[in-house]
Amino acid sequence: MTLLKRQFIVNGCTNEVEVSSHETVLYLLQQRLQRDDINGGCSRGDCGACTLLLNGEPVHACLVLAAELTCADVIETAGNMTLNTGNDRHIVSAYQNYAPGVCDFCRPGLLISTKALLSEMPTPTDERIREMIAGHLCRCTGYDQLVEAVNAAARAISEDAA
Amino acid sequence: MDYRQPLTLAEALTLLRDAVAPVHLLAGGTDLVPQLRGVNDPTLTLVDLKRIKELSEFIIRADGSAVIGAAVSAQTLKTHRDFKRLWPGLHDAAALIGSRQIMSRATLGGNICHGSPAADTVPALIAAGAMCRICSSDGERMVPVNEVITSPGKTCLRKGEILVSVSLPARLLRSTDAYLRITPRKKMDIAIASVAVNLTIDESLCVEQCSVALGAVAPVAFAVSEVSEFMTGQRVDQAMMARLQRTVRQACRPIDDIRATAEYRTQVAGVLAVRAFEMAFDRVAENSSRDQYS
Repeated sequence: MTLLKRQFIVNGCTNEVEVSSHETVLYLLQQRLQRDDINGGCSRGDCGACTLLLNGEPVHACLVLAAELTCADVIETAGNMTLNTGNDRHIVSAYQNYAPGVCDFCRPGLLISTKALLSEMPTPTDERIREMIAGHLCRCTGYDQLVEAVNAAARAISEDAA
Repeated sequence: MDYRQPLTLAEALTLLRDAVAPVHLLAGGTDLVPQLRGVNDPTLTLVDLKRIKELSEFIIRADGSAVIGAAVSAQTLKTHRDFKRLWPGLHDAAALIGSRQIMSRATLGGNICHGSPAADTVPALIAAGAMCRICSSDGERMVPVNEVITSPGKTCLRKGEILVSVSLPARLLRSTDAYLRITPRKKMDIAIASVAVNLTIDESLCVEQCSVALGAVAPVAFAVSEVSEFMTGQRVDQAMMARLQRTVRQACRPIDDIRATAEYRTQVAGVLAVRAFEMAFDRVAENSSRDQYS
């Protein structure tokens, strides 16, 4: 089996690994790099549990091949958000306070999607928040808590900026 | 499986020409990557097309004509301001493809070449009169979008060919488009029926040109050619809308499946056609009055 040498950045750290042509970024991060801040669910882009930021764009790690990565690619996972300050801290706190029911299975992906949404749209309507949530399956919250959490995060970020 | 990432179109076409084993073309990968899960065929070659310039370019000219590379993502189409203004129907179709994460990756070329009868962009492209540029190492050909998909999951692409880009014609004065679909869920679902209308109105508010295309109500998306025959040069009234609805329903050849019955699809396609026409008509009127006072 041919292995391909790949270099890329995860949460600010450069990684250099050999990948096989058929492994996904999810497999690489979770199984081989042993990261615990990304979860695999459906493996076909439905559940949103493996959402991460690839060069600032939210993507499903299960739908991106590790072979596609180059040294210019920057990956950000939810683990980084819990350590960060600023807007990331507001998003993580809003989920803790307004969506305490959401479990650790869906939360990393939801945090990433929320970060992507609020960077594109600092004050989203409930409809836009629900559009974002459509990319995630969450059995714990009934979804309303998630809308409240995203709204709370948006408020906290805008108050901080004022 | 052998992964190749050509940097030029010529390199990709040579790879395809010389391939002896099966080749899969990878663009966004939203359909292909799950299909490849568990497949570890050493003879298979995966050709990633995303680094090729011709497949990534997105050009909109002043006259409204456009060239969209096959690897341009749905999110790029959704966020392009000029594209939304000039091709609102095609814009709306691209914006409905899937979740935000899917939008980042899914490509226009993938939406066409996957060959789904319910692909959102395909009816809008057919109504717009879009042409596909298909290249091989022997040359290239331009094929109308409605001839690219031949049956569910099948395209007219021959061995060694790549869909490089899609061209949209120039926008005429007082013309626009609209796309509507019906799904059980608003997002993350597949159309039960979809309708695209591309419309040009003359100064006296008569129809100058109208094309209507349907998705998810036949094995492949198609244009309802009878519509332009009875609409051209006519004034828009209730009788015309009733005839549009009737003609669209007669053109439907749907199936019963888990999402809807054939009868429901037929019924709803007629309703969507009238709504999409009215939406396009209102957009033209709105644009005309804005131009008048600007």
